[in-house]
Formats: sequence, C-alpha cells, structure tokens
Amino acid sequence: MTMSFIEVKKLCKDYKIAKSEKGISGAVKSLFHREYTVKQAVRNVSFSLEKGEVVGYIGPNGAGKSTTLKMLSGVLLPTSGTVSVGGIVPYKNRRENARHIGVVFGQRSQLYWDLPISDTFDLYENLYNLPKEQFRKNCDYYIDLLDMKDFIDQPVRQLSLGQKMKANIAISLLHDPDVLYLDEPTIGLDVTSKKVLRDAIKEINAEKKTTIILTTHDMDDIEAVCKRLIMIDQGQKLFDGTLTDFRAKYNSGFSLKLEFDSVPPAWQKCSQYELAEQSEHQWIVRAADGISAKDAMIDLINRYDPTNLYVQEERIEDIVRAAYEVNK
Amino acid sequence: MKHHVKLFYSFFQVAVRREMAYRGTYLAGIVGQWVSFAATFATIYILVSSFGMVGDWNGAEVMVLYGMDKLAYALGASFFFNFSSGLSRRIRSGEFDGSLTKPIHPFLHEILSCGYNIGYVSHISISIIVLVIALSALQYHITLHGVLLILSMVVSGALIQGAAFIASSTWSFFTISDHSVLDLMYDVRDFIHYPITIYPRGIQFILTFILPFAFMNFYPAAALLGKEIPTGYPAFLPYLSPVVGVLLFALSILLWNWGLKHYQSTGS
Repeated sequence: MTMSFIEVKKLCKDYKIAKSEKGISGAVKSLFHREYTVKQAVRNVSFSLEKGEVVGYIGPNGAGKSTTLKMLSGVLLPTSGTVSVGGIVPYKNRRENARHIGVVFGQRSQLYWDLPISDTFDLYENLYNLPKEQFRKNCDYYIDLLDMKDFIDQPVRQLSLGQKMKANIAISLLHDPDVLYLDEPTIGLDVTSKKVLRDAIKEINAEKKTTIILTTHDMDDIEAVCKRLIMIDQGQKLFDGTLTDFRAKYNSGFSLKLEFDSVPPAWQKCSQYELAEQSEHQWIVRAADGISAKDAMIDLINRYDPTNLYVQEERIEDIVRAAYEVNK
Repeated sequence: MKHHVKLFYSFFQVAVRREMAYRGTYLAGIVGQWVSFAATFATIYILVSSFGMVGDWNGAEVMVLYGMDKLAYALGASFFFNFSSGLSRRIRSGEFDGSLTKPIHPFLHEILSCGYNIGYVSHISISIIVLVIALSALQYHITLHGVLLILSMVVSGALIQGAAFIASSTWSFFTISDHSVLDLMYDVRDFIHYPITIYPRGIQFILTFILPFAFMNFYPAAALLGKEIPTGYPAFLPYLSPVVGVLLFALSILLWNWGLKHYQSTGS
C-alpha cells in the first residue's frame, strides 16, 4: 500500500478545560489541585490527501476544524492517532514540517501593524533563509497574482481586511510550501475580495501544485475552488467525497420560489410540498423527492396562480444545514 | 550561526522601524522616563544622605547599588519585557500559534518578533550616568579589572533579570489569568533597592538562594566597593553572579520549554 501525501489516522484531540480560580492564591492552589472538564474536540477522524488536492474542510463553529489544522501544522499534539504530512510527523518534527507548510489562521495577522507589508516580506526572506532569486521571483509572482502593488508600501494599519488577508496568504507562500492550510480565508470579506482570493487559490494550486486544505463557513468558497470536501460536526467526520457525491447524498430535491403581486392565497397543506419560507409576497416551496420540476410547476401554478415562478436547485449551504440536522 | 546573526539583525531593524513609526511618541516616552527616573534617583539619594547611612552604606554607595540594578534590569527588560508581558495575550489571541509554524524554535521566534523594547534606552543611559557620578563621588579608581568586573556583573544581572522574565511568562502556558507572577516578581525586586544586610536573615536567605535577585546588584556592588555580606555567608559569594546568571538563564529556558510542551498537548 502506498502512502498518501497527507495521512490522518484515527485522530483524536481532547481539551481539558480547567476551572481556574482568581488571584495568586487561587493560582497557587490550582497548581496542586485542579478540576477539569474534558471536551472531545476531534474524535477519530481519518482521511488522506494526494499531492495537489484542494479540499474544503467544513463544519459549524466549534466542530473541530481549527483543532485539526493545528495538529496538521504541528501546533498541537494529538491525544491519540497519527498524522503524516509528506512523510513528516508534524508535532514530532515541528521545525522540519514548518519549512514545507504555509499557514494562515483566519484573521490573526502575521503582519506588523505599524510597518508596510514589504518589511514583513524581507523578514520572511531571512526567517526561511530563502535564496535571493527564489524570494524575488515569488514576491513578484504573488504581488502580481493578488494585485498587491498599490498597497505593498502602506503601513498595515491602513489596509482593509481583504488587503491584509492577501498579504498574509502571500507571506505564507514565499518559501514555496508543499501544503497550504487556510483557516477561514474569506471570513468578513466583501464579494469582490472573496472572488479575487478564490481565483488566486485556484491559480496557486494549478501553477505551483500546492496541496491546499481550507476551512470555511462559506459554501461558495467550496463550490468555487474545491473538488472534494470533508464535513465534520462535533469532532466527527460526517462526509468525505466529491462535491457531486455530496449533492447526490444529501440533496433532497429542489425548491421553487413563488412571487405574488397581491396577498397570496392560503397555503394548502399536502404531502408533496413544504412551505419552507414565507414573506409578504413570496414563498419558497420545497418539493418532495420524485416529483419532476415540470409537474411541480404546473401543479403550483394551477393551485396558487403566482405572478412569477422560479425553480431553484438547492444551494449547497442548505444541503449542509440539512445534513447536520439529519446527523443530529 | 551566520543565519542567526542575519535573522537577529533583520528583526532588530524591524523593531527599530516600528518604534520610529511614531517618532514623537517615542521621544516623548524617553524624556518622560528620564524625568521620572531622575526623580527616583534624587529621592533615594536625598533620603539616604539626610539619614546618613543605610546599614553601613552611604548615599553614593546606595546609588551604585540602585544604578547597577537599573542598568541590569533595563538590559534584561529590553530583550525580555515585551516577550514576557505579551505571551499571555498572544496565546489567547492565537498569535502564539504562529510562532509554532515557523522553522525556528518558538522561543527564539517570540523573542525576535516581540522583543527589543528600545524604549529602555532611557533607563540604560540614566543608570550609566548615575553610576559614573556615584563612583566618582566615592573616588573610585577606575582600573581595567574594575571595568571588567562591572561589565560582567551587569551582564550577569541582565541574565538573572531575563531568567525572571522567562520563568514568569511560563505561567501563561498553564493559565489564562494575566500577569500575577510578573507582578509578584516586581514586588520581590523592590527589596534590592537597599543593601540586603538591613533585612532579617530570612529575607537575606530568600534573596540569595531562592529568588536570587541580590546577585543583580548587592553582591556585585559589595565586591566592587568591598562591603560586608551577611554574616556566615561564604566570602566568594559576591563573585558568583556570572555563574548564577548563566545557570538561572538556562534553567528558565528549560522551564519555558516544559511549559510549551504542556501547551502543545493541552491547548491550554
């Protein structure tokens, strides 16, 4: 059996949460006696990745996404289970692993607030001991790709969220890592910045063959850049496969949007349709499995006579929400 | 090694540029510190000279004691103060995790990226001035031997202070409560503003063997000025500062690494 590039086997992480007491006396007391509650942040998660894959790692808040990334990047030790990234065990060989990975942890900036990004770039050249030529080439490449020319010499404190995220991503890639871990790269960004980032992530993967794991809340990120997704909730893996399989497994059909000029008629309860959302002049109706879109449209027009009617393929976001419900 | 020197230098440049981004604030800070420390030195001097002696130390000798302490403290603090006082916050905000994804030891990365508080230039300069004035008032004859002694004592003192900063920051790996240990250190340090011979034997013992801050100024100054040390303590003790400094510094790093292990396995 050949090893995959990234192998995660039966990974578990328990957090012991200590009840801490106040002040020095409390601190001294808790040195000798402490009470803990155990939280299982990651439970028995296994997956493997090939070189060059882009995988979306999704789950609700507190699902264990960041904890998994921290174990993959060598920040935390697993409670049990194993991780191997390109043959290196990250938490045993942390420094060696660090040379081969790039990490962006959400909005925690690696930039110096008072200095322009270009200063942080120079610092990273020395931190990773990069050859001059590789450094210059990558600087030019990422400044161009992420469209950073206009703000590269501005102090970081004057930059927008999107600009800072671009800079953080560029910095994490200057040493040509094999793997890039992105924790919530698009959180809080506007639509345009999100698009630029998604395009850049695709481009980096295609051009540099970088393996990328990204965690996100935004399903549009997944649709735009990932062929594969892994879904976890409460520390456990619920799904691992292609986006197409994900839709096939959890897709419960389609929905229809009905718009009315005036007050809509009364909703008639029936087994085939479900009124999912309702506002003054608009309904979202979900159709049950087995009904064709054509039949549903004719049926609903006959019954309610809407002004407009749209058929909507279910958004992946709704599918995910439904999937969490199913697994609860 | 060459890599480390380059790394050190490039982080140092960044630290200086950061401070200089707000030149006005920086300069005002230096002047403020100057005024405040000059006032403290003056107060102690006036107090001691109007009461005559503290123990068997006169005003100028106490100034040597205080100047030495401030100089060693400022040297240690310029490298380790930001590091120590910021660790807890950096762990909470997640910035510390960034240091664990870099190809150098996280201790080194923390020191490099948040160290060098160049504001301590004010402490350093005023301590040197006070030391020079106090020593010339004592008509101390400067010899090569004396200069070397003073230098080695100051460096040892800085190492002891650094060790205190490193050791107290280790606490941050275990608890989210802020600063309690750092504050404790400052409270203990207040004792060494005066010669320890004026204190009860219990406190002398603690400051010598348990929390050996007395090696930052009392013992070096006693060696320099030929002063009495607590009765019954070995006569070579005043010359032991370099050994104590190096030993404590090494121990504090071991302690810090042990705390780091704990953090990595528990996520704090």
